[in-house]
Amino acid sequence: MPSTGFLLKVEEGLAVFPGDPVAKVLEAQEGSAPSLVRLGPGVRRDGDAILTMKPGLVRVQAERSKIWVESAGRRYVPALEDMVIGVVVDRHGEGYRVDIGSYEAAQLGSLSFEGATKRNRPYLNPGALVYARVVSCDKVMEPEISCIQPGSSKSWVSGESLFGELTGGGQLIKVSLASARGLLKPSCAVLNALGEALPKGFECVIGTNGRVWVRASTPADTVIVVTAIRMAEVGTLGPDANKTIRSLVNSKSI
Amino acid sequence: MQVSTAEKQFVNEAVKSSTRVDGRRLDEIRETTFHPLQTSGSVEVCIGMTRALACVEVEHTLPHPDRPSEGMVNFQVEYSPSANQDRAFEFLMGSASDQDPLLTREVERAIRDSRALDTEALCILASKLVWSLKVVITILDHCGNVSDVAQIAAIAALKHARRPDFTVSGKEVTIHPVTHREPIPLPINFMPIMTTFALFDSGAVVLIDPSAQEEAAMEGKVSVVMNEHKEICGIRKPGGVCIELELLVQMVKMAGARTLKLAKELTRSLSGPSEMLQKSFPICPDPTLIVNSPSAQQAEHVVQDNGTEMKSPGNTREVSPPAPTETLAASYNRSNAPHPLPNADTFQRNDAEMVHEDQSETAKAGKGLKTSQDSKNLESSDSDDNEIDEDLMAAVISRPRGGGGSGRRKPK
Repeated sequence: MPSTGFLLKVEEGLAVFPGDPVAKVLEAQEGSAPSLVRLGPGVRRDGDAILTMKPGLVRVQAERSKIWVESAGRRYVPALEDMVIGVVVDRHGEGYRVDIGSYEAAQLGSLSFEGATKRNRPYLNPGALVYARVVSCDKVMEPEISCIQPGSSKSWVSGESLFGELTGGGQLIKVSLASARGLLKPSCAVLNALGEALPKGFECVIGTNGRVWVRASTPADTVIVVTAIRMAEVGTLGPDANKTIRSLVNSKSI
Repeated sequence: MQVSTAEKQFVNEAVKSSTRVDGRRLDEIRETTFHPLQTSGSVEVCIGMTRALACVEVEHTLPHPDRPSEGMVNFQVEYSPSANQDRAFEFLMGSASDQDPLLTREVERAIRDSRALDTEALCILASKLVWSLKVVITILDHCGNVSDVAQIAAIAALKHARRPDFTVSGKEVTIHPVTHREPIPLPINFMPIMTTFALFDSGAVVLIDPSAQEEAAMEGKVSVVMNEHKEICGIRKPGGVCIELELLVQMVKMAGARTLKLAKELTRSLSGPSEMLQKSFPICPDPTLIVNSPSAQQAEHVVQDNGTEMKSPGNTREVSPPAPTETLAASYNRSNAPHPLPNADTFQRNDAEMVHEDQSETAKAGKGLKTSQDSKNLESSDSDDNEIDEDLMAAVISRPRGGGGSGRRKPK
């Protein structure tokens, strides 16, 4: 089982306190195949041990050999490879300053878009929403984000690229970091139920910094999606998400 | 504020189709709750997810030289650093401070400038000693409409606050620690309550109680301050789009209905715990009082007329000049003997009543009586107003309007 490497040693969903060792880097590399270990938010490397930095539940993503700690906080600490939604605060010569909810605004280079050149690049105004990934984060430097997706060659001009400006209206809400990650799971009950209940469908972008962008066919539908996500976050959706959401849709669409 | 243009655009779009971002109706107010704390004068108020905590500090000080017979009331609105992520961001960038002078002024206007508080009744000894109230309002969570929350928290805290009892004999003022005599409510004439409306679509759409996103997108706002007798205490419209008179009248009606409801709720939620508080949780008195009264038979805070000096009771009292001020002249038919007070349960309300009768020239009865009257008035008026209240709401709702949403109106 080389692909699961160090993750065999880690118990998914284990409750930890700051400073608890969760895995060993050397053991991780033993299996030889994943020589790369991705550290998500809430964990750090100390020698050959991987220690937790905050209380919460350990999560692992076996196929990417990624490990992180999840808690119900709302304060976002940037971690490498996180996909985040930010608001452009300011623009300067070489790019933009984007608020991603971290301690400091992130930098987004004006050429960090797929296919962007000096002559042909997107122009973002302050207040614009951007979906991007964190490419560099350091405890002393500003985090850096980029709208380039590795392995994809879809240009920003075509509008097909995964990252980039979120246009066409839509509503932005802020949820806790854990529930944002919960929404990202394919088994997420709310989004699945919403997909079934709303015939016209909706579009949803989830940033791991706790921001969720929603756009449906009408503002009323968007409000339904937002309400359902909020209800799921505080746990008022009940055991039967499908039923609750259906009644929500019916009550609002009258 | 880091509110994206997409959010603003969405709010505007939604409002035009009579939808609000949190699923409320246009004229729907978020749930308002009051949480009085154990300390008197501390009340936490929540409107939806917006929270504010107001605390009243009661002290005695020299009056302002221009207003020798008026007590002092000061307000201060602060933001907790964790109140709002966006504000915290600005705070880190150094462009925001924890205080909000504009909001402070808004609260001040609503409460002090509307004369809701009888400042003359806060006088102890004219030009010598008055009560000084400092109301500190901390915004704990900013999810929109902080001005309403701050103002309502301030008035709730003032309603909840108690000041120590005092007696004036000759030129001496004795302030009794709250452990010895039951503290007395503050002289509040009426309860002003602010209701904020947000204007959208050039004034064609009006929302009550805007949320943070709606506040970021609105084109103007109107704050109506009314009291429980449905009197207007103030209307504030800081810039923004123009509105018509009839719209304002409609807003006043809606504000009136909400004020009645909140005033009733406030009196109800403050009445229970404060009783308990007086009996079993005596507020920590001024530490100097404890120091000065080790014998505890008559803890006294003696203030000499000529110099507002504090003396412990054992000290020899200076001979004071024989000319007390007019306001005090009447309160001296009482004996000068200090009252031995074995416990806090035996207290003499009459003393306080007398002093206040003399000092505030309003011929109202003393504090204890006054509050009970007030609450009676409120209750009786409430029972009458219930019907009117509903009528008003009905009138507001049944008003012919374009577009369909309640509160929506076609611009001419």
